[in-house]
Order: sequence, then structure tokens, then C-alpha cells
Amino acid sequence: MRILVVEDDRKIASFITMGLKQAGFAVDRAANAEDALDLMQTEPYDVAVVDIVLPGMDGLAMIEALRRNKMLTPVLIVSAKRSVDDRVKGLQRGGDDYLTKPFAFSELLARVQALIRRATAATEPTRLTVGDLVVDLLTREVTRAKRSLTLQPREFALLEFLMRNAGRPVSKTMILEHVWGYGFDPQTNVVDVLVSRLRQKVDREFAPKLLHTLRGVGYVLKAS
Amino acid sequence: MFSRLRELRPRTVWFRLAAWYAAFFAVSSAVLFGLAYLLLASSLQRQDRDLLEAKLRELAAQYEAGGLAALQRTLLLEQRTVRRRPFLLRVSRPGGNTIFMTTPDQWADFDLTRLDQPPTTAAKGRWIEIHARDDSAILEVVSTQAPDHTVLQVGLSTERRDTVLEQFAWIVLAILVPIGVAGIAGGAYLATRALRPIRQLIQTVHAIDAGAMEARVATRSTGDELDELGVLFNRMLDRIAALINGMRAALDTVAHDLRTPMARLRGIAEVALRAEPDGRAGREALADCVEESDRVLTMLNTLMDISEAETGTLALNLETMSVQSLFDDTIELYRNIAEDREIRIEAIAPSDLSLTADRSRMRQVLANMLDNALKYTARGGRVALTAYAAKAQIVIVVEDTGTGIAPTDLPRIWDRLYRGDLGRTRRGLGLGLSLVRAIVHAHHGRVDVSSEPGKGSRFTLFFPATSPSRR
Repeated sequence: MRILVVEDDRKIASFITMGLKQAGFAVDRAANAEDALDLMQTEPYDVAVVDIVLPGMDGLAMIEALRRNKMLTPVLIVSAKRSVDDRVKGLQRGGDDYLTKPFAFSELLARVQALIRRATAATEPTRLTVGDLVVDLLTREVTRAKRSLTLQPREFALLEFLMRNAGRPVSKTMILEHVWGYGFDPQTNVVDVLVSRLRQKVDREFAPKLLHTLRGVGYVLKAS
Repeated sequence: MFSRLRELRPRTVWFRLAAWYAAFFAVSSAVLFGLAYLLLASSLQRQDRDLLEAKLRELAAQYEAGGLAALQRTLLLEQRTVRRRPFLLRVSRPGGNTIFMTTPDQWADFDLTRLDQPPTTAAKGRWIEIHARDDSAILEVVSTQAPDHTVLQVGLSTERRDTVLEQFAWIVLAILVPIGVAGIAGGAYLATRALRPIRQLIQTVHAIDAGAMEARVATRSTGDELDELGVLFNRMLDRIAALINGMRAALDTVAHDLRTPMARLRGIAEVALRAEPDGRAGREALADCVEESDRVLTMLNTLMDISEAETGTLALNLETMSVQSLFDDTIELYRNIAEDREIRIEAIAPSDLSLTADRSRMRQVLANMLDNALKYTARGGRVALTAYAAKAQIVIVVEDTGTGIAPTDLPRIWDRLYRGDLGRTRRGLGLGLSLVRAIVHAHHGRVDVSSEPGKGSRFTLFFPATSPSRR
């Protein structure tokens, strides 16, 4: 999988590039829209991560130029502008997703992966498995080491989200958005509470532990 | 003095006001005197003509009674007894043959042959006007015909009348000059007087421009328009001053509240850098750094939300939603926390009660209210969400059996970054309630709070029942 990062700020670009490389992607970087358009003419990219504010041609104009040339590369817009209007404008002009700066890297990664999934149209699984933990999405049955677990709806939603992102850390913001559909951060950490409840049911009586807390990053579900 | 000189330029309002006043004054006095002149002229003419007609009637009667001889006798008698104004008398045959004529010799030179012309227009009647050869006067002549067809004509020169009118004109001119001067002076005075409040306003603005923010316009409480302008201007200045002070205070608190996490961030990073390279400790330090910076970011985002909501630039995606579903969503978010703390959450809302608002913002409002209520309520307590429609309002009440708010804190809890003594020791930014109020205001609603320390608090949100128009 090959990703193009269009970002003029060198530090931000290097942190995105490094993170994506760590996640196993091949990454190129362009510092302006003109270079990016040239690169995209020659190289087949799976996703482009585009900053709106660029020297010269801006990101939105670049996306429009891209779409005019019938290039359907999925584009994740990254911008410091956080109003709903800006978001809508970005999506209307041809962007596929929108992320506001500053962001947690895990969120950027999850969104990039979602775009790739959408583009490659992977078939929807009916069973999710991590180690000896199995979630049946049709019957909504959860078992660990063949023992059935009883989860509340929110706990189930959280587990499903973690399992779909198995091995990849998810941030608290992402959990709030996916499990409750809330786009803001409540003061009291409701995510922590839900995670600890889920952990009680999934991990307490079993080994090895599957649900890990990555301080400052979020949570990850992984077998080893 | 300088400003006085500047006012004399034709562009200033002062100059224009004074000039208009003086011009109006001059024109109206000129019109007045002009009318007086015309009236005087016409009344003098009427007098002369009445006199001539009377004379003509008298002479015609004498002519009829005693012929030309009687006429001459009368004339002679008159000249001797009374000094009358001299007049022209002509007696002639219808063909134009003059039988008798007397003309005062001090008169101007008139073309007396024109006396034979018959009166031309009907309107002028029997009157003939003969201009002097040098055009200095007019001879007005009236005619009548005796029964024997003899034509009698009596005439008067306007010379005397003209002298009177000329004198009148000179007097008027002599009066008009001082009146004009008075007009200019009056205009200047009135303009100065009328513009005094404006000049004070200008001075105040200059003073503020120079940095004296506390400068205010002197008002005279006369209740006129300019006084009202002054009062409004002062009120606006007060409001601006309050806003600036508020912003300054908010900025101070923000700076202070940002310094703390930033100092921690820096400290953690510095300590980690100075220590021996240790993977585990380094990771811990980095995790601390991320957590601290998240805190800063959350604070900045919330502050931006608040200021956007307060300035009306927050875009609201209005939709009509059931209040009950809003309650359910919020309670669902906090269910686990309430269970852990053994706090009972009750929600009472009529199932058909709906509210037109931005759903995401309303969730944020209710989450903040519930968050607060849970934070300050002890184990085993109770939090109640109630909603009802009252008159043209939809009212949402959040009640808790918590610690309550001290009366001294009560007015300040909506302020940005304000935390009561209790709040300081607990986690939180002190922005939740400010955000709640800002969002409710953006929906054209209002907030209210009452509290009894030790017993609990009651927050009330009022929303207009009719859908608030988009800002």
C-alpha cells in the first residue's frame, strides 16, 4: 500500500510519514500541490493525505484538479480549520474524509485504513477473532476460550470496534465517536470506565491479557 | 483656537450651519422688506388715483354746472387758498383740440401729445400712463367726457411718490445691512451651541484614541437627540470597556491555566532528557507529555467553541429532536459512572416534547450538566433531569443532591475557567458551564441556577419553543 503525504510543515510531515511507515505503508511526501499532482500522475497511490493550507495552490484546489483529471485516489484532508462548514466544503470539493489538526496519530491511521478498506471493498466479515476471543456479529455472541461472555450493548460495541482494529491502537476520541456517536470529549472519562468494565469481562479470568492500555495513545486489542 | 480656525473652512458642519442660518435670515428679511415696498408702492398709487378721480369728479361737476369759466375760477381759488399738490388739467374737444390746459412747470418733461390717445385697454379703464422723456417719472392721467363731449383730463406725476419709495428703499437698505450682520452672528452662535455636544463627543473620541479609555461624554440630561446620542455613546463605551476587561481577565486566566500544563509538559520532558537513557522511563515521560498536551488542546478547543458560540459564529445545524431521546443519550453515556458511584439518575420528559436545536451541541450541553451533577454528588445521591413546556418556552432542569454552590460563587460559576474552592481540587477545566451557557445563548435561550449548600443545586435551561432562526 502506497501513501502520498502532501504537507508543507516539515515536522508534521515527518511525524506522519514515520508513523505510516511504522504501520507498514510505503510513504512519499510532497511539500506543495504542484509536486503532489506530478507525483500522482506517475505513481499509483492508494491514499493521499492532504493539508489544506499549502504554499501556492491550496489543498482544495489540488483535490479539484485531481478529480478533474479523473483520478479517484481517496483523499484524507488534514486541516487546522475545525468548523463544520470547512469540513463540508472539503468533502464537497472531492475529499473523502476530514481530520482536524492537531490529531492523534492513531486516528489518522484508522481513517487511512478505513479509506483503503472502502476503496478495495473488502467483504464484511461475520466473525471477528483475536486469539481465543471470538465475536459473532450475526448472533452477537461473544466467547473467550469457548466460554460465553455476557456483554452490555455498549460493551459489545466497544469490543467490536477494538476487534475490527485488532493490533492497531484506537484513541479515546475514536471510541467516543464510534461507540456513542459523540464528537466531543466529556470531562469525566467515560471511555476509561467502559474499557475497565469490558476488561473485567474479557480479561480478568483469562490469560493472556488481550486488552492493553497505551498511555497517551489509547487502547489496543492484540493477541500477544 | 486652532479648532475654531478649522471650523471656518467651508466643509465643516459649523460653517454650513452658520451660513445657512445667515442666508435664511437675510433672504427672509429681504422678502419681507420687498413685500413691504410693493405694498407701499401700490397703496401710494391707489391714494394718488383716488385723489385724481375725486378731483376729476369735482371738476367735471363744476364744468357741467358753470362751464370752463367756473372751472378756471375754482382752480384760481384753490391755488390761492391751499397749497395743494400740483396737477395737470386739460379740457379738450373730442377731436383733440385743447381748449384749456395747466401743467405744473416743476414736472419732468412729458410728451403731452400722447394725451390725445384714447385709453387702449379695457382693464386700464380711463387711465393713461405717459413716461417722461428722461424716464424719471410717469404721468398718470384719468379722463372723463362731459355731456357736451368735452374731454376732461386730470393727471399727476409720480415724482413725489417715487421720492417717498426711494427714501423707503434707502431706509430698508440701512436696516438690512445690520440685519445681515446679526444673521451671521446669530448663525455662528446657534451653530456653536448646537454643535457643542458633538464637539464634546469628538473630544471624547480623541481622548479615547489617545489612550484615556475612561473618558466619557458630558451629558446635560436635557433629553434631546444629541444628549441621547451622548448617553448612548457612553453606554456603548461602558459595554466595550466591560467586554475588554472581560477579555483581558479571560486571557489572563487562560494564560495562567495554560502555563500550568505547559510547565508540567516541559518539566517531564526535561527530566526525561537529563536522565540516563531508559526505554521504559522515557516512554512513561512521553505518555505524560501526550496526556498534558491533550489537556491543553481540549482546553483550547473548548475556549474556541465558547467564543464562537458567544460571538454568534458557531454554525448550528438545527433539527427537531425529542427531548426524551436527548436525555436517553446522555444518561447512556454516564450510566456506568453513575452505577460505580451508586448515584441514581432519573429522567422525566413528556414523550411528545420536542426541541429544535443543534443535536450535537445539545448533547454537549446535557453531558456537561450531567457530568457536573455527578461530579459534585456524593455516593448514594440522586440526579434528576426534567423537561417540560411552559408558555413559549421549553425548560430543562438538572437537579442534584450534591454539595451545592456557595452563594458567593453562584454568580461566577458561568465565567470561563472559574472554579469554586471545591472544583479546584477536582479534575476539570472550569469551562463546562461557560460552554453550556454560550451554547444555550446561541440557541436564543437562557440559563439559571439556584443552590443550597449541602443540599444540592438546580440548573435550569430555557429554550424558546419556536424554532430559533439560524444566526
